[in-house]
Amino acid sequence: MLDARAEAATLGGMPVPDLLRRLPLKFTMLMVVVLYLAGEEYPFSPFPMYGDFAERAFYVYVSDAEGRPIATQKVFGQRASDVKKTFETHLRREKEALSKARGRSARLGELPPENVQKAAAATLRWLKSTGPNAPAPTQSERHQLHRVDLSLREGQIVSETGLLGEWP
Amino acid sequence: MSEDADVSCADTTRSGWKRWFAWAPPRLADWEGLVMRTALAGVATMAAKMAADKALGYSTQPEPTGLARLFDLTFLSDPSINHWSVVFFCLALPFYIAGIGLPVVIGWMLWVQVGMASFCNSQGFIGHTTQVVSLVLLAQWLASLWTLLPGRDGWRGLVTSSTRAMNLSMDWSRQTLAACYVVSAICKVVASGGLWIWKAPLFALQITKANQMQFYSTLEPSPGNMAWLSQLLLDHPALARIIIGSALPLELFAFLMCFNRGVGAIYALLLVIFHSTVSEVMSLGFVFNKFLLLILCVNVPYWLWRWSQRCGDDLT
Repeated sequence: MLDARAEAATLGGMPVPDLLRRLPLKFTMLMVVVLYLAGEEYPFSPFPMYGDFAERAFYVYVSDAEGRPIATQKVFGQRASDVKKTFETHLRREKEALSKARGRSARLGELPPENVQKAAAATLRWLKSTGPNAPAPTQSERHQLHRVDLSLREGQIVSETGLLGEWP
Repeated sequence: MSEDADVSCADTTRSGWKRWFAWAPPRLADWEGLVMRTALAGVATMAAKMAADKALGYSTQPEPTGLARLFDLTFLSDPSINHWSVVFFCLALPFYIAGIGLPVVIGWMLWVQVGMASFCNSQGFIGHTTQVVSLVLLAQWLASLWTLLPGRDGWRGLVTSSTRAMNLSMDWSRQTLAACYVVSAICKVVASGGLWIWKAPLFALQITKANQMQFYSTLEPSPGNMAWLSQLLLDHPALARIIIGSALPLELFAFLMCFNRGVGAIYALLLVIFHSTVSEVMSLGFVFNKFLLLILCVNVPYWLWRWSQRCGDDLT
């Protein structure tokens, strides 16, 4: 019985504990597993940026009430990329609320315009009331959030701009 | 878990190409450890200060992540707490560099860095700028605790750091850095259904998006307009798959950085070049990744020392 146990605990003639001890990069393997499974929980992340490429992409920008673009980093202290991420977070919240109301899972694409406007308004409210430059000097002014869709048409990148919402 | 650095075959006697892939993690001299910790202290301070300054701008944590899920971190935006956290972080640095009381010292540095950055990342958008620094600090903290185990440095590890403990700390730091790239590559393979390289020409859309977003951040035309590159990738998909697609194997095999000094330095330099290219094209920083690659893997002081030794030998 003991011999059988000893036999089972060897691999290629080397005892498994020894083999494990000599296995290189154990900490790398451990960290890869932890980073992958933990997801986006700071400081852990699977670093999923540019994980997949689609034939469409979009970004958002902020303008004044007349539609003149505003430099978000200079005025509000936030980069346009962070504004986009925040808008996506608010969109997801609207989607969850809609799913709850309907009793079935809703998709982002089928969000009614009023939900998109709510998400845009929440993003603008956040932009003006938080962050390094808050409260924004233009706090009381009306601002707009615009969406620019990029897509491919006959080998060229084309863009379409639309108004998402405004606040206050 | 055993210490990879200690079980190294250190097989540097092999010849030809086999030597390049010999598993021989660097055995750092004490002076190298001192130089590395000094440089890492600078990088950690930059990251902590960046997160602490940013934390001052927020007062709530609407989308908690990481530590913020467990604790309410809003107190870190209090100017007084924020200020003194950074002051004590800076006071801990000489101890960190000297290797004194590392389990406590790195524990404090880790708490400030992770606490501030978790709070900033709990605002509804996730940033990845300082994550790699936090992960390296985490690896070093775990290594400092590991050396406290019986049969290693024991309680003496609470006070001073031995050469063996320093090597373990830097080895786990390197492995953590490598793991960040490997897991990112795995994500790309999974998310794209294995078609990441095939879809690489579509990266053109991401370049255009990043450039235009950068414009709307500052309303200043980007110094290098990359529209030509987007069009080049679309016009020549095979070329795009080679240029952009090469990022995937580069990340996937990043663990080679840990094999030995030579491969580690060359591989890390390739990653620095890769980051610099992405910075230029996409207006993304990666400043901490570059610093950590240079400090932990390229290790310029070692090569200068080795070069000076050779010059000395030639003269005698």
